Amino acid sequence: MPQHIIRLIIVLTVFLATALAAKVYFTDESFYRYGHYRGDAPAELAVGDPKFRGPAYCEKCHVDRHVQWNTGVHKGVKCEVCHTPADKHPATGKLPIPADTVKLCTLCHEKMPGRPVSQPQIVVQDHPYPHEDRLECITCHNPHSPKIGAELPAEALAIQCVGCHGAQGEGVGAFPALADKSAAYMIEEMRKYKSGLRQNPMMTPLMQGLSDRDIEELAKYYAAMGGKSAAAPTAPTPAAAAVAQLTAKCVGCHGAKGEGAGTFPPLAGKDVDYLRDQLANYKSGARQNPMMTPIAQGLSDEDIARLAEYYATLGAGSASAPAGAAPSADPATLQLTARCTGCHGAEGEGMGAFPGLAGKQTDYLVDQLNNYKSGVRANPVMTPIAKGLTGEQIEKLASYYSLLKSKQ
Amino acid sequence: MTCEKDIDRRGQTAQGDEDDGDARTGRRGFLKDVGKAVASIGALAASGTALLATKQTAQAAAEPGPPAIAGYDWNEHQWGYGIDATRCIGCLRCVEACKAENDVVPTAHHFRTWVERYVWLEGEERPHVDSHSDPDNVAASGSEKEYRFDNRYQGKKVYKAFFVPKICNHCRHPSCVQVCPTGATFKTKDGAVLIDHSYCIGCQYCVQACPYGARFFDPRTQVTEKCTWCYHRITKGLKPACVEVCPVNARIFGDLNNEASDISKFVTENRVQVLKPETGNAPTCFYVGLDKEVS
Ligand code: HEC
Ligand code: HEC
Ligand code: HEC
Ligand code: HEC
Ligand code: HEC
Repeated sequence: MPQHIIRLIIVLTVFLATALAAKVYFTDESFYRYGHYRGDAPAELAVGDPKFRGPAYCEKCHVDRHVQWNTGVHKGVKCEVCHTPADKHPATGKLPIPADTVKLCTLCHEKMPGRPVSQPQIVVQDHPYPHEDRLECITCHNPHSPKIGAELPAEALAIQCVGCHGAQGEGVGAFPALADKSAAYMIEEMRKYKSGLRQNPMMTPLMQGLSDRDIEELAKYYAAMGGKSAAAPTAPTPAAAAVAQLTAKCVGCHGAKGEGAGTFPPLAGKDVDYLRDQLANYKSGARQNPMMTPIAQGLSDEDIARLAEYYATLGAGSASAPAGAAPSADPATLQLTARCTGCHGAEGEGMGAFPGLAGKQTDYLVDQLNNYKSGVRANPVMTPIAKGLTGEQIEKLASYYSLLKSKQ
Repeated sequence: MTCEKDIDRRGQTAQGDEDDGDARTGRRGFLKDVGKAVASIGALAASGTALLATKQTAQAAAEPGPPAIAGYDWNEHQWGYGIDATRCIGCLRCVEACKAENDVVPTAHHFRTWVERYVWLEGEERPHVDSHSDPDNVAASGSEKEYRFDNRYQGKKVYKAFFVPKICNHCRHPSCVQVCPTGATFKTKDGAVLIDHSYCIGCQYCVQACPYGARFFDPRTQVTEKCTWCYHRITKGLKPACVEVCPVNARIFGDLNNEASDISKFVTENRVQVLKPETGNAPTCFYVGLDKEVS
């Protein structure tokens, strides 16, 4: 064999031998044990202490919290989601208590496209009523069992009352003041509404949704407000004094200053002639309304003139201008909205605890009405109303309110 | 085994040539000689492989029990993962939990699991897709270490929207394992695709090969990283951290060998899909509620 070939073979053999030796030397003993990888690797990767210990671990020491949580609606939300993973806690110190609950809770509860409807969602600025300031969610919700139930503080329960009885229980328009009444009286009256002894389309369903404990707490709460609400009434103007006797018949619905409330239109600042004509129309029967007709029939032409003049001269300061041109809607829809305006405002602008509807998405409104109708969402006032609406009516109402301009 | 078969077939072909009976000198004769040579080499190789194979089976029979993990035998389990996208609320607790549990790089660009948001606006043909690594979402969360979706579609007319959680699919035929030059990534008997960091040379072929974008390069350790199904948890009878924290049970994990497990029920009681079936990777991560545009 030629020399150069022999040399080549020697070089190749040496190379192969080194490569083989290197492979034997460097390859881990466990390589190929299960396949083309290091057989010790899986066991090494299985080492390590879990950092999320699970609620069963917390239960050992925080029994009370665990019980609350375990029986509530937040059972799916594990402790360590809000308190960070326990890891070696308590050896390594306390776990943090979430400071910014608005930030925490909105992770899961902010109304957002893409979230399934089964997830309870809120529009933060409108919850539980339209407001500017940031209220920590835990002022009203217990983070470990957040569903609003029997054990709410009176402040939280009273959210349901402010829309009609005023923020300080001072009463507005047709809605009586509460702050000036005794607790015992209010408890009795509220129980009457609840049992049906006293009937009122607004109060009865609300009271039926409250426990006896809630009623007592609320009565005490409002009784304690006594005095606070007494905003000094402004001295009556001479003109007002002259017609005081007459306006007593109006203030119940149209407000002390003719500013109107809910379905009750404002009178202050309206044209004298217009007011006089309308009252005359009610009196003659040209315009019909079960509340206005009998009142107007009890007025003389002179009374009518005086009242018209009085309200025309009252500044329209408190009377809000319409939010925008109401969209054209068919009479049937407008008739339907009569069921809503009492609480949600003439323009769907909302008031107090009653959320605004104007400018909300049609789909959202349809969903919510359907939720009330089906019982997915329960509310003593909304449920019976929604149950009385057909699918078509719900769509009409939703599209009507979605077209109204929001005032926010 | 495939190799052995091929050689057998080749040997047979050579045999067939001889049966032709057309043996003479010249070109044909030469071809015949070559045929013989190939046949004999084939036979040699075949016996060699056979020998090796018997050696290997002998070894297998003799030795490798399951890896030394206390109280755990990987032959008893076949893990599977399920995602019900119709339940996901996009709270991203899974993403944060994964980062904390596995000490993943705390930036808004490296994730072992993540969530995508698909939103169609009225009148638009294509969805807007974003995930929590989107700059606006990072800004909304206030930190690279916290994750939340911003509420950017407020007041827009949304035609359709949903969230889709994503994670390593732990494929039955993982393309990442095929391309790894060092055997650093592998498929375990119980179904997980793992990375042996001491063998990873950081070449990132696997990052390229994964059709799901489930792998990333860890700038701290200079090796490739990915979901392990929290192998340190599942081998202790726990669920992966992302499954543990999901408040709405959108993530499901369990043993496919056990008919009563959550994942077996999820797969049998629902009509499930996998992502990109056309790649042939055969994921073991099953989805409910995917839409036509999701891949
Ligand atoms: C072995 C007992 C033990 C276990 C298990 C345990 N904790 Fe604690 N935890 C403690 C102790 C002790 C403290 C400190 C109390 C103190 O100093 O006031 C504490 C404090 C806390 C605090 C802070 C309370 C405060 O007032 O600041 C939170 C929150 C907390 N634990 C949550 C958890 C959660 C969530 C778990 C389960 C993952 C858990 N703990 C499991 C013993 C335990
Ligand atoms: C939805 C989030 C959330 C979940 C889930 C949650 N917590 Fe809390 N936890 C909070 C918040 C918020 C506070 C602060 C409450 C307060 O200040 O009134 C708190 C307070 C605590 C405290 C301190 C109480 C005190 O007054 O000193 C403990 C202990 C605690 N949680 C344990 C737990 C345990 C155990 C679990 C699981 C069984 C759990 N938490 C689940 C949000 C949560
Ligand atoms: C990780 C997600 C998550 C976080 C964070 C969270 N929740 Fe929840 N919350 C849920 C889920 C899931 C439910 C149960 C929904 C169901 O019943 O289907 C729920 C239920 C509720 C409910 C009951 C709704 C109803 O009427 O049924 C309220 C109220 C609530 N949460 C308030 C809060 C508050 C307040 C916080 C902050 C302290 C908070 N949540 C934090 C996920 C979360
Ligand atoms: C001033 C008290 C108050 C505050 C503050 C408050 N809530 Fe509520 N929340 C309520 C009341 C009352 C209800 C029950 C209303 C109902 O059942 O319709 C409620 C209901 C809910 C619901 C259930 C809604 C549904 O559609 O089922 C969620 C979710 C919720 N709140 C979350 C939050 C979050 C998150 C925060 C903090 C950003 C918060 N709440 C702050 C009083 C409050
Ligand atoms: C939708 C409007 C509305 C809401 C909301 C409402 N009320 Fe009333 N409430 C009324 C009206 C109207 C009357 C007078 C009805 C009548 O004459 O019987 C009334 C009467 C009362 C009375 C009897 C007052 C009296 O002088 O006899 C009490 C007490 C009372 N409400 C308490 C409450 C409490 C507490 C809440 C909150 C839980 C509440 N109301 C919520 C409309 C409302």
